[in-house]
Amino acid sequence: MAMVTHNDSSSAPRFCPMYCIVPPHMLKEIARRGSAGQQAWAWQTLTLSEQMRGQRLALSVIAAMGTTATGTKRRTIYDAGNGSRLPGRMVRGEGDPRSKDRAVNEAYDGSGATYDLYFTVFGRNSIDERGMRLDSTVHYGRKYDNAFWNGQQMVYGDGDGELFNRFTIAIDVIGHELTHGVTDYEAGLEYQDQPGALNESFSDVFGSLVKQYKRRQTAKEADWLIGKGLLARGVKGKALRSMKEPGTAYDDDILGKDPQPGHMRDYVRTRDDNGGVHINSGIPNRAFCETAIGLGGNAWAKAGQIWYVTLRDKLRPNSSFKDAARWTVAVARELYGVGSLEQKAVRGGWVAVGIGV
Amino acid sequence: MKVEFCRTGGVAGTRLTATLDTERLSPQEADRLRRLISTACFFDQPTSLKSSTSGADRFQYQVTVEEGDRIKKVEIDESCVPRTFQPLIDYLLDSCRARQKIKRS
Repeated sequence: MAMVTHNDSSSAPRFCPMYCIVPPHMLKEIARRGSAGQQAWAWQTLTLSEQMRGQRLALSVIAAMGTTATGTKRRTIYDAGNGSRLPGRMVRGEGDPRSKDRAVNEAYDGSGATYDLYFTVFGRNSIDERGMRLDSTVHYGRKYDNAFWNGQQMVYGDGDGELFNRFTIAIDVIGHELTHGVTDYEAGLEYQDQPGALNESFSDVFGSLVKQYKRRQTAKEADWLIGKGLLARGVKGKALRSMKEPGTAYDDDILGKDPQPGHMRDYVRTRDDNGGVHINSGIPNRAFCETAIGLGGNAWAKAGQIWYVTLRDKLRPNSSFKDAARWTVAVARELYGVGSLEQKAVRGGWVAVGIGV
Repeated sequence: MKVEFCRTGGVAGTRLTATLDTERLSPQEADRLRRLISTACFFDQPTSLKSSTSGADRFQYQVTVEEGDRIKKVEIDESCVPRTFQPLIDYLLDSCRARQKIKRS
């Protein structure tokens, strides 16, 4: 089977359909009946081929074919072997036995836990609500200090061992990356300035909920830290971010001090980091945390539901913090009633960070 | 020649920086840095290479080179780094890490 990949530094999977000699009808059969890895390849090749030809109708037929029954996970883990080709070599498919490689198992288990939260709590069938495959690549790059969502899959580096450990170590980071996919399919928040900081905040919110749901913790019991365990030994800090107390996650000679604000009066105006998307996300993060703790019980039950419906149905690509505040209050009213405790708690959460509704 | 480097973004949102001056480097290191700048066609690159595709948590790089009376700053998204430019980025990242190690010890 001819399968040609480009060797460049871009993160997007580079299966090239122009060089594929397998006819579409055969690809469709492979997409239906092949092993997990073969299905992944056939699906991707078909999708890219149809996109290149601009055949949107054909694409929708393929998409329908690819929709799985709700509750069916389709996880595939690849190993980049410390290179930058994606997706890399397939090392574990859905239902396969555990690997000897802990990063592989963490990516598999973490994407499963994320799927479970979205399906069980919010009734969502994967990232795209149509049972989308959950593809992850581990061991990406050399001393790569990052994890990212490239629009199609999750990618995890091993860390440099000096500042960061492997990025699969924290289940909330895995939930964070997958939620970027959900946001792409729903609100489509632009990755810049306030919409970008909201995009980041929704990823932290649902990443934290994945961890809390897995541990069956209440909002009061939760640590509200993002990326606990990710900072290497010797780094002065407890995590990447604190949703409860933004700006307190680390204070280290090399990493510097956690720059996140927890109130609008401290909003950081910068050109770096797409306008500070990982910095100012501290503000909506804290609004969610205040709301959830104010409501008590499990954060996913009410606060999570309100934030999920807002992301799915209300926000738009250019939504601001104020828009998010208005819509979460409106959704609380729709779900729980005018003047309900839930609506008051949401309003209180935003007021605590300096955004009145 | 002076080179300033800054990496921002990534899921951790941390900032990594390095400043190199060929006059303060060993002759071999200074030559290596000059070659990498030349291979990267640095002064021929556009000042901004931004990705138009979706995705999140990628790095952004800023590289400023001052040579004689020429000064240029290039901003590049991680997903847009030209193949000829990547060795320069890798070298600058290694420089950052080496400085971190010295600072930590």
